[in-house]
Amino acid sequence: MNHQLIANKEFTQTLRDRRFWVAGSVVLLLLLVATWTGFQNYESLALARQKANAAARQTWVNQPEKNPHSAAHFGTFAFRPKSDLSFMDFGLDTYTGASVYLEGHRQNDAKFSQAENATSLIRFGEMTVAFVLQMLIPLLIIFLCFGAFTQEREENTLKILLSQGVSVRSLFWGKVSGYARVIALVVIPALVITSVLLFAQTGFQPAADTLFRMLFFFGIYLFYFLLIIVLSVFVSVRSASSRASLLTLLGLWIVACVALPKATANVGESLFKVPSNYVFQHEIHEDVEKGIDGHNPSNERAKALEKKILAQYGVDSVSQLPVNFDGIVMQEGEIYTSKVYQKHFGALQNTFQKQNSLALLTGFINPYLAVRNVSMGLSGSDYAHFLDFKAKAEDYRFKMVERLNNEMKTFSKTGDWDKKVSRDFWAKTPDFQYQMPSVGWVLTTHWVSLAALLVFSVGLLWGINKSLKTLKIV
Amino acid sequence: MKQFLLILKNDWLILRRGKALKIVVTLAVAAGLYSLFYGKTVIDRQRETISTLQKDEQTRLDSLEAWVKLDTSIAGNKAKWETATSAYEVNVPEGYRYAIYAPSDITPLSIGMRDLFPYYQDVWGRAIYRQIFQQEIANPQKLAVGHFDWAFVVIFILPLLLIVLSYSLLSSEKEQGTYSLLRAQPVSLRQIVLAKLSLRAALMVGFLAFISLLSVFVLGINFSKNGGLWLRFFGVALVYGLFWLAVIFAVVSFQKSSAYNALTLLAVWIVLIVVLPAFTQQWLTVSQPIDRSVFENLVRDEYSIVRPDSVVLKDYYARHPDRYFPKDTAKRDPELRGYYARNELVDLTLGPLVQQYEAQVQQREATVETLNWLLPAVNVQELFNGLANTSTAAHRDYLHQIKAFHSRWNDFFLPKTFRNERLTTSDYALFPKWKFQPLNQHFSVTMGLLKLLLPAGLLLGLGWIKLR
Repeated sequence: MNHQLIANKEFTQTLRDRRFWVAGSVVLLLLLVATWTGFQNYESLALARQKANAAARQTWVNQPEKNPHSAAHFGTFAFRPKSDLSFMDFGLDTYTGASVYLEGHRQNDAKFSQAENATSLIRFGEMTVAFVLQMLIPLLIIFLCFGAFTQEREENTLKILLSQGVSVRSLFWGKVSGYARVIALVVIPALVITSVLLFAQTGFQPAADTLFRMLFFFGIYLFYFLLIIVLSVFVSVRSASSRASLLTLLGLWIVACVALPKATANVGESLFKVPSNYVFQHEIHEDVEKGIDGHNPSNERAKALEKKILAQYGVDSVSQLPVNFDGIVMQEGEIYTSKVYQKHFGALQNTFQKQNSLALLTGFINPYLAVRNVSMGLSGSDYAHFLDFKAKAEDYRFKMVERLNNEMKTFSKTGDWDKKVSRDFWAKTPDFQYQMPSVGWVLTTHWVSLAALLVFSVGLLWGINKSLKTLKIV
Repeated sequence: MKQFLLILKNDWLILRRGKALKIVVTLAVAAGLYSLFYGKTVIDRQRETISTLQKDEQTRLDSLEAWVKLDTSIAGNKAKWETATSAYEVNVPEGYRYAIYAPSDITPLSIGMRDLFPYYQDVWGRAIYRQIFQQEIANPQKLAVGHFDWAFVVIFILPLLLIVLSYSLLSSEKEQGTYSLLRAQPVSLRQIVLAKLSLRAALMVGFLAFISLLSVFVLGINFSKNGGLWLRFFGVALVYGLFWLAVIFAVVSFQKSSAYNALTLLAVWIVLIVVLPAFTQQWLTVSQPIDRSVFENLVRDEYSIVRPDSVVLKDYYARHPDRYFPKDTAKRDPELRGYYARNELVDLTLGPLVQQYEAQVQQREATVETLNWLLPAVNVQELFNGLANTSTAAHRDYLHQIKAFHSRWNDFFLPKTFRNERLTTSDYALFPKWKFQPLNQHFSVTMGLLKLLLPAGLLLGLGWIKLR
């Protein structure tokens, strides 16, 4: 009962405060602008990539008659489709490549990131929905809550309140729920609009997975806001004056949202070194030439293969083979180089993961970092989704090249590089269709960040419980 | 003047005995030192890569040069000699050169776009547009978060520290009850505020000078060569600090409470440094969209051109009549004329599209430059990047230099290939060499500084009037 009363009082009082209306409408406006511009940007990018994919497929299908191996060199492109939710959180999409060139003999890295088109402005971030939700709404919460207890103390109303028989605990949680209602006033309209946009874009028939992603996305942010409200009211309880409370909270905000993300990423990079592109390509080349273990050079591998194939077909020389030996050699080569590429790209991704682990672990004391990771994951714009795309594109590339090599093997004789396959062969190659992983995959990928949020909340609750018991009111 | 100094001195004593200054100085120095260390680590790693590349290039060219002189009557030498005297082999697979974007001495102070764009490029004789669209290996999460370099410390952290030291400049006197006592003295309000602000300004200058001087030793800045750049960098930081002092002066002049000042100043910081730049970026991507996917789809190898060699060559000879030798009908092995004609065609197809793309990016840059009147942080970041030669414009210029070098490189070898000539020992001394011309030596900061000084002047004027 008391709890409700206090919540109502905070809610009504805030609504009567003109400053809240100003700050709240500014944030809501920014949120709407971010939604709108994010959606525009998403739409144009999604369309461009869709068109580019169609164009790449068209080019592939319209190839003239040619030798299958020429087609492997000609290759095709896989453009990464934008995920449905990425208009809310661009995540790392701006910095990861948009397309991969799929050709024989080699795995290319994704190229052409959006960041390359930008001016140095890009280093100041992008005002996406996630930017507003992660950074600006916490600020609004801070401005709202910093005086929650200190003001009562300064106006000498705290003693009176407590003499009425209300416990500090219910005063605390009553205030928290009052502020939570206020924040909901700002956030709910924006969430409604984003969901309408999302539904409209999928023709009001969103996939179940998209729906779940969206629900989790909203859920995680609502939890985040609640956490910030509790934290802010707690700082207010512990502060001697409103001024001290405000400065502490703003200091925490700057450390958590500006300094720590940058510092952790920078230290991570300094600790774990990645090779330069030159060294990376050089090592791949060496491994292909000398063998992954360094004791299996390419010419010996070729000899061994020849011996094996001759034995398999029971003939003495390559020219007697009923199949095209070049096709077999190239396919074996493809399998081998794929292993080499996998090894090196794997090592690189491992190093990146080590670099990022610092920020990941800091999530246990900085909910901003934890929420940032989960939010990117749910929007499908984190590094894991990018790697998933790359892996699927690589899988497609390998199968495409394998198909071409097998065709080469069966339809012509060794040494015949001139025989061409007919045009209808190109259309028979399956098209590349990227399928996003499910929401369950996202949650398991980001379990550390989710655990971090949980641990932080439990720690905060424990701290509050302990502190409220021993609190000196006056 | 005497009172001015007295206030200054007493304020210094108060600051020195308080906790705030110690915390601020510790944080500032720690951030400054870390930024120098960080910038040095990043650029040292790049330098390390560059020297590996230079060694690799030297080894390749040295062995080629030695092979030219080999005695071909010895059986094992023939192949080596053929490689080293083939214009194609040196032009493309064996003798390719590195076009290196050498960092300047002050690059570690503002790393800018140097992590996003490559700082070296291997230049082969084939189509240049098949080569230049590369990104150096980088962690996308790190790219998104950005650098903790000296530019970041100045742009983001310095204003915060100034705000912490000055938000209660005048209000604290009121809140401590010393205001009326102070006003009873024969000093004007302007004198009081200016004296206190000068103290903060002196602290700021001291801090900037300390870290900047330290950078000379830590980064080994060659003063006789790059002293001018370093001075301009320091100057930009000073003026930016002055701009924030003007903001503080204006806010303080309204004579509100400490909490109000703190809130207002931080709101200004958040709007100018966090919200407005991010918003502008977002607005630019929507209002001036750039779509590269059309030419991304075209960056393939020379055999993606369906036309037969003879047709491609016919057009090629029309462009290069000096390379057309109709009487020379001997069969060549390898036949490379078609290869080169095709590669040039790839460049000719992509050239206009790339140019159009560059124009679009430049259009965006021009818009940002105009908006910089309202975006002091972005303005200063661009000034820093310009001086450190790490801006997008500097990178574009580097790409143009690569293209020019590619042309020179091919103009040397291709006539020989078409004439079916072998390279000689004397040719080796004539190979075109890469020479990087940094853009930053003549980078002008005047306009950028004006965009800071003018608003700063207006703010100071506002404060001056308000403090009457």
